[in-house]
Amino acid sequence: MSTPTTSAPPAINPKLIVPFINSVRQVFATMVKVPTTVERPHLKTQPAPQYDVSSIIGFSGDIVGSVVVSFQTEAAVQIVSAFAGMPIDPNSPDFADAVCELANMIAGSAKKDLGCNASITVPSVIIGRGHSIARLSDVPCLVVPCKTPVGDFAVEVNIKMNKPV
Amino acid sequence: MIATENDIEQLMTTVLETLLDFHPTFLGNKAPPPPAGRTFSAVIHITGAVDGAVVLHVTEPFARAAAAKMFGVHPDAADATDQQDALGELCNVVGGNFKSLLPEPCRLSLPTVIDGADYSFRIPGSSMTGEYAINAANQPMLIRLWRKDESHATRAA
Repeated sequence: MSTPTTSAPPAINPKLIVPFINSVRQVFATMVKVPTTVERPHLKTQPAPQYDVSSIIGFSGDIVGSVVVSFQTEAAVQIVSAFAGMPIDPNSPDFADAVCELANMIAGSAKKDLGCNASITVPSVIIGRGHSIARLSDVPCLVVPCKTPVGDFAVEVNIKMNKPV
Repeated sequence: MIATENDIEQLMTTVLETLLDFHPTFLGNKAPPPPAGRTFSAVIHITGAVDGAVVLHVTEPFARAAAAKMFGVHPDAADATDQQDALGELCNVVGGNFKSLLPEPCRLSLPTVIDGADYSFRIPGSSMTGEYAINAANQPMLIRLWRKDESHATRAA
């Protein structure tokens, strides 16, 4: 049973983060085809940042936790439209599908580089202005801010090893 | 069908009574209108023989009451972290119990908690296979079960 703590969040294993940074660059270069700048990652703190569109993918197996790709509405529309190669209405089911597909690609590509026995889950999508995704207190969470010419987004990596690296 | 309504009722009663000393009443599968104001959704994903998720949708007063019970604080003193941790733990326990109803092998992710007002949650390529309304701690609670559609194309990871 979890108990609240005011101690510092657990340290993050760099081996778990680099594959996600590389994956973001690769997916955005090859599939979205927009130049992406990955900024300095930082530990997620309270209060959590608020977003309008998020996709969550879970990890289970040797690695457990979740990866969340989050946007403000305008950035999501621009990026998803660039990904689709055509304008996408944020109210259409295609929008949610595309957001999830992006997250799936980022997680899937990173999983390959992590080189461990882990499964990724079906992606979920949350759409609604000003929501936040809580980080698990006992699992390190790194926020990777990303900038593109068509809008900014963030990748939150909230995972830990189930087994030693 | 993986779980019957009776399975879910038994599961939720056991978890809520044991973990939080809440005594739920069940409203069947007629979901009440979504509450106004701040709400939380705690989701735990499942992979393996079954791909899907268990999602708990609760109100802020429920989250405060759960945190108060779990951490031994006054509800007014339960901050956002306490509420999120309590819901994450509740979802973890519910997910673990639900997994025992599933064919082997299945694995769980860690829970994720969403905090906001007026947002939608869905899993593209999956269908909601069960929706159960509960009243616990004098607050509405909704449990939704999602399962990946068999016809949905499998994306290699």
